Amino acid sequence: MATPFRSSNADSDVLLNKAKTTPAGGARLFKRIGAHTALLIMAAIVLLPFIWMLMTSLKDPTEIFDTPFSLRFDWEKGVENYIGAFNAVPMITFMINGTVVVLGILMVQLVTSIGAAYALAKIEFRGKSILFAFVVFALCIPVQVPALPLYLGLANLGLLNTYFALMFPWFLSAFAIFLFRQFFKSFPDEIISAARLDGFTEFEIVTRLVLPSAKPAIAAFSIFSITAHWNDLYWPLIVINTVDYMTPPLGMMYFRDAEAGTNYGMLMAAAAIITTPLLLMFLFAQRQFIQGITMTGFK
Amino acid sequence: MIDSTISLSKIVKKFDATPVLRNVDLNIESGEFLTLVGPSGCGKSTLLRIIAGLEMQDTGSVFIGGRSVDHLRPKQRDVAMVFQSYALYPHMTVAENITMPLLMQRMSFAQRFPVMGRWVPGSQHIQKNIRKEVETVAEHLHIEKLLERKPGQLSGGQRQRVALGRAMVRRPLAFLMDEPLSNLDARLRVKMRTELAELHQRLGTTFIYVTHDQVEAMTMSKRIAVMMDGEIVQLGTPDEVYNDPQDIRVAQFIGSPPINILPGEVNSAGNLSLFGVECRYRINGSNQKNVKIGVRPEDLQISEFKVGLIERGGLRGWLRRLENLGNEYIAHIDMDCDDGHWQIAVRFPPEELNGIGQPGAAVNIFLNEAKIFVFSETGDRLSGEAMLQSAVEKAS
Amino acid sequence: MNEVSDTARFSTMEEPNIVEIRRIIQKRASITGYAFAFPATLLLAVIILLPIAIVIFLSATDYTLGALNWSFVGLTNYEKLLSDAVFWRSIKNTFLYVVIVVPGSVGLAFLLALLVHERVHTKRLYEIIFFLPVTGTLVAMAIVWQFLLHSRVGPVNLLLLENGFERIGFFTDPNLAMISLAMIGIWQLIGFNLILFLAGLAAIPKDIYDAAALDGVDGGIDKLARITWPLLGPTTMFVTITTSITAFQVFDTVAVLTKGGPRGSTDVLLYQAYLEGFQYFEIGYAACLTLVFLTFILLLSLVQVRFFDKRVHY
Repeated sequence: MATPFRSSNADSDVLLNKAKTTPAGGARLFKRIGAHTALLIMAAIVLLPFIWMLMTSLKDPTEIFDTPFSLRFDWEKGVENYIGAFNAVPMITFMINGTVVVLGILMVQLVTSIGAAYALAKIEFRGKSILFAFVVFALCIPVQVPALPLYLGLANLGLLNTYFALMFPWFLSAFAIFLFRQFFKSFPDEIISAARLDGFTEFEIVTRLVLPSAKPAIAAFSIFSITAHWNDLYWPLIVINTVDYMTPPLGMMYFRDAEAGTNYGMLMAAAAIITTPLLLMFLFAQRQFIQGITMTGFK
Repeated sequence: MIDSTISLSKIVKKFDATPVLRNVDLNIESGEFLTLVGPSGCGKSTLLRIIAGLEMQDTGSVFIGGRSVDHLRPKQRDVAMVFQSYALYPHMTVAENITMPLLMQRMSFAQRFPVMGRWVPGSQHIQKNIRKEVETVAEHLHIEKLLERKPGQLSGGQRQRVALGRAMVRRPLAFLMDEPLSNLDARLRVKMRTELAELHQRLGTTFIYVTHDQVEAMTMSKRIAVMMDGEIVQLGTPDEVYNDPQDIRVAQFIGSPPINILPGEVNSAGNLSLFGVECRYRINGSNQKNVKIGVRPEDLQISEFKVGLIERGGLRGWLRRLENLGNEYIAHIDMDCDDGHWQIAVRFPPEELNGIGQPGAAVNIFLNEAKIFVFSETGDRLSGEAMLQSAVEKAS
Repeated sequence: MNEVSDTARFSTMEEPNIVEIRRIIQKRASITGYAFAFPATLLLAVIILLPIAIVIFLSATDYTLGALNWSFVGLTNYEKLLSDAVFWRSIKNTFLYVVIVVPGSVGLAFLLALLVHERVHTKRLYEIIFFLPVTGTLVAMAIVWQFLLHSRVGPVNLLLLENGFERIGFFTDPNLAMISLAMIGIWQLIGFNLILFLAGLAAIPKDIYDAAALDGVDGGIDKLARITWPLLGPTTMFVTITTSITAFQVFDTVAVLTKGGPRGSTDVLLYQAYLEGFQYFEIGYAACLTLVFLTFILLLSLVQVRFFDKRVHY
């Protein structure tokens, strides 16, 4: 057999080098530049409000209007803006309220949903399928639907303007039950059977065997829940009308209205203060954030 | 006849800094069925993907049909590939799957343009012709009744045939197959093995077949290239690879149960001894002192222990376990010597059982010197020859 | 056969016991199940089921908060609703918002996902950037947007003026206000949808693209139209419905930025329900609006469940 490469060995290296750069290589480079240009433009638009918020919060009020696009920052004025934001309204109270509310909601959600999810995934009991059907139904119901009766009930009990009022509608998370049930279902039955034979109680099986294996789901859900309730405006707007119990979004609205929106430096500083905790959490736990989103895809 | 030779010249490929292929040369003849076999991670799949153009080599060249294809994209190389996962388009019917390569080949960009394409002149006519060819291929593979189904509704074997159909319909210069049978169950695998071999005969096209299964390699191909650590360590017929391994890794990879590797010693005259017993075997021109002796399970003879046999060159061992495979037995023997503990497998037909069978019983093992391979400590084959009649013959 | 008769022979002796034991075991399991599920079940009843029943009940009354007397009015509230121009305006506004936000955020996220998926080193960075609006507190960011797009002092308008264009009243022009809110909605949802599309893209086996490259489908429109787009079909369906449900619930930006104005041009269904229920305390009427809202949400959810079964190709 004739070996073709022997005769053309001399130019095969040239060909190879060509193949690496042209024609496919050139097109690829062009495509890459195009893709990055498009992505960078979109990224700039998406980041614009964040950048603007930070820029303005570091400027003197007069400068904001005289030279809004200048990149010269007055750090002293910046510190003044942030201190001003803290002093003008009880910003620290808002932050504490927000923290108390999101953590309180999360605790109750985890306790109630993990139990229900385990029962739905691994225990046979009468009415199980009805309960599950109700969970799926509840999954579709936004808080605005039961809001009226919940408000009337809380009002009748004199519970408006309390932490309890802020948290109560969220104590049940159908999403958490659904998500954890999916996760628990994949936990091997053999291990549970073995544990029962070893004398574990059901409670111990959940806390010592099933829960540790569900850590990623719990982490993802926790972040999901914290984000949702830190950012929620609708429910606090309804049940809170005293400054003492305002959550950060409500506080932000109150601040803007109280300051009449004239001091933009302070307003932007306040926005930055309220947004920062979640942004930091996101930067430190990107993986869980993104997992949380993809898990909603399993719904 | 169409030239469908495939030649690889000095192919080198690294992933990051890890070399995957080190300087691979390979010439495949027109119409040959060549198997690339080796353990996972030896680079055989990468080599196949380089031939297909799915991966670019760092240096070296690929020639298909005598012309260099390094600058060509996969679709321009005129090769078809069958994947381990079959890689069927899940959203298309079987017919659409098989149609795809012809559609892309024969229709202009306008004619195949989504939705609007059907009104471009000529497209209907081409569609009709393609449909005919697809049906012919489907009949060949006995999947004509499945044409309107989707891959999700097919069994593994049926998907396999669709993947073959998609490859065949283009009449490529060569078929590249990447472990095409490894997702099938054992029975179907044996059946498809025969069918693939017959398909090759009928089409007469070059087949390059990648597998980690030595049985597939031995039974299907005309030549086998055994790959280890990114190199072809031996290229030859199944017979050569089995009966004349050039490297200890080849000897160990091919054959089941695997070849026995035992410690040997060579004296200054070149004579070989095993466990201190001198063999009738001489090494040619080598100054190795310690060597490795490879002997296949069927090239050992086993008999009930008798003191007299030791003097005639037999080795003593203890039977650990006897496996009855119906048409043959495999005995696992424990051997102890000064260097430590060894386990040996012996394969023999039922008629040679002769009262062997009590686990723990002592047995005699005889070596057929004519069938042993001697390797250096680094694993290279050493040449040598058996002298006079073997101990086996003497014993019987 | 043998096995059956064997069991039969034994069970004639022990049948009562085994049945009894099995019943006890079953009961024990049931009790454990109830114990685990009870807190959630109770909350489910108190927070979701009972209130929905009460909403339905309230919608047939003329109850207003603080009123001493109320009475059944049957369908009067619904009649009032159907003849109320404000209600129809809020429906129209809500649909306008959905119709802009859904294709905008789904389409842009799809295109961005195609580009981001191909990146190797910068993929993570782009994911983070596009996801930031999802985590940013919408109320705060809406106020930043308000400043950015402010008709007098907003930098966007200053830029327009400097370049010889006229001012744009993003939130003051009744024709534009809803569109401005929808842009903010798109801005906020892109990252969420992008992540879902990226997950969908990552789930497409690489072998399929290799097979396609050999078949001649190796780039541009062919690859997109024949492989990527159809394989992402189920993901796209899911993302579209999820986004529709989210968009339908638009409230925050309206409450913070426009309060339904100017001239009712951004008065959406939920904001209308909020005003009636919690500002005017027209509970019966608000309950009606809530049920309209619930109907739309349930319809969308139903579509979602329908398509859920067909999500995977294999």
